[in-house]
Amino acid sequence: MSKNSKAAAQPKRKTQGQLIWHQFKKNKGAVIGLIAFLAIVGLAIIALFIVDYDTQIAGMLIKDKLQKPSAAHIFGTDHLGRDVFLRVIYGAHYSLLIGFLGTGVSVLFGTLIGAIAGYFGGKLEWFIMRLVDVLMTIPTMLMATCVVAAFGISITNLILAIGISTAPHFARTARASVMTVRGNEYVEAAKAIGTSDFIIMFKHVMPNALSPIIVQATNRVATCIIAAASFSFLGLGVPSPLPEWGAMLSDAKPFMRTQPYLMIFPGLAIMITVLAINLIGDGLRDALDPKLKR
Amino acid sequence: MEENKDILKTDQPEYVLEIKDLSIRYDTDDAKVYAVNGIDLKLKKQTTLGLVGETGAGKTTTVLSLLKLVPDPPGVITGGEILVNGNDVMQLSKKELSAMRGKEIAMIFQDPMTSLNPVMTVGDQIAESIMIHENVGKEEAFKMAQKMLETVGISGERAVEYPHQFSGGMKQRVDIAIALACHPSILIADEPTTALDVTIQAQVLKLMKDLKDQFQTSMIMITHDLGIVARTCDEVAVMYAGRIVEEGTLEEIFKKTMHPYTEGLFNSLPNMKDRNSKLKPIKGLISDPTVDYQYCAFADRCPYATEKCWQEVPAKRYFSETHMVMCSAYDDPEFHIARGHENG
Repeated sequence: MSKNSKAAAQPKRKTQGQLIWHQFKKNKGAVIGLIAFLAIVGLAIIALFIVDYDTQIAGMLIKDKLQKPSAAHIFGTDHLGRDVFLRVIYGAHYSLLIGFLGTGVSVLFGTLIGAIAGYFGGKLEWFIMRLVDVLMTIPTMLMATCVVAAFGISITNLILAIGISTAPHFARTARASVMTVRGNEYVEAAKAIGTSDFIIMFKHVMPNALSPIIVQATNRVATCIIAAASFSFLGLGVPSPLPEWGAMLSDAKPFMRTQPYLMIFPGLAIMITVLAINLIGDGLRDALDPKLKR
Repeated sequence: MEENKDILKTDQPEYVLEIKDLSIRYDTDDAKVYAVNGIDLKLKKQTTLGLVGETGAGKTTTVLSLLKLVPDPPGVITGGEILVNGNDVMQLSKKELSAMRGKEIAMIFQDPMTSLNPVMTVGDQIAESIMIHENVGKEEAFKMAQKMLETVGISGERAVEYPHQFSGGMKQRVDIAIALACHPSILIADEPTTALDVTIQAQVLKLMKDLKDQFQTSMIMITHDLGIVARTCDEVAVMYAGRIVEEGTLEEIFKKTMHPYTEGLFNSLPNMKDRNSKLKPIKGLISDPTVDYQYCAFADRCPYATEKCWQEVPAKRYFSETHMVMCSAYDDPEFHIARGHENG
């Protein structure tokens, strides 16, 4: 063993991130999804700098209205003469913001209470899970309507509404996942060396219980984006001059037959974003599962 | 007999572990399971005690209670005392308990495949124990973990690898490294080699024995393999239906077997001299643990059972200072079991 001691002094530690990336790369679909997703994020960021909100997004250029796609306006223009391409890429950050923050709120609350319920069990679990059951009986749409009705239409309220109404799903997933992990011998082994409940929960149980939550979360980002679009489409989400994709679809409704591109491009944007995120989620699931490592 | 015990206690204060009249019950919705029914055990410094018995005899429950790890609910410790280095485990606060686990008593689990966290490097898992009990930082703990890995015969470089990159025998070595990382005074090994193949078994047992001597640890070895007992243990306790039915030194149990159940265990071993001979199993099934036996639980399987066996729990009878047998048949001074008789 002594001849190894020198090498042992500076072990080449591959970080967790490197290992996950190594696995993630192997999934072609996930890589394509990631590229598409990064492209969308990139465009959204560029749009924030090159687009002038007041004239190009919220302004009115009536003389240019309802133009077909051309070299000057590659996605055409809408009924107020605004460039659809600029609006779509500018609108990406609303969708992404709502999708990720909504999911973030939901994962944070849901996973935390679900994990506590699953790990400690007993009366606490009963109380938390019944609360979750009650929350689950309220449809997302109704919940969002209530929140918006009570606090007014704004992006923050929309994020909260979406986050809170989907949190129960994460609570259930987290509880079920934690309960299976809790029964593992390594959790008992950790207890046997004197590890505290807090550390066991966050170092031993949660990392092993996270895979289903991450997969669900990526799917949830996608559904949150769709939900945000639906709310905006119904007039409950992002208010109209903001180029949220759902709101754009709603604005384009009257021109669906004559100018279908007004609906096609925001619709495609939603579709591609959702697909890209789902592909990434799939890749992440494989990469995060240590048993699939080769 | 009471007197006898007291003398033992005062004469030899160097017990690292004393269990007095311990009873544990699992209260489930369906039934009450009487897992441990009033056992007494003492473990001397640097000795190895073998805890032998069939599946369901209460061996694992007994040792889990030493760490206060019996799942509650449904497990209830209904009576008794456990003294670890003189401290009563039942009276310890959560914090004291956490300080004791791993530092004073450590445990090696049965299946190395499942007793390591798959998403933590083995080095981190060994270091975790060190960080809890020794006042050291992360880097230093990791270095100590590497040293510990080398002690169990794995190159320190491999500390950064994950459990799935190790073979079964190596995982068990890692388990041993975790258990011994903080030099506990008592090491519990719960069937440490059951999940390993025979060649690896021998290596792991040798390693454990060597390390036990090196770290001056006492050990409780749970097993149902009498061969392992013969190879590693100094003292043996035979458990049946939550009671210790026979206890003594290795020599006493193996050469001067007294209890009919112990005899049955030996008889069920394959006979190496006569390979064509049939196995002689103990007839019947292990007793129903949901019954609170107020008589000898082994009576219905015992070839020597008499009327008396069905009437009362047999008293503890000492045949030497160390050799205890719980069997009513010895009320008759002429009684002896077949095995001891044959062997002379």
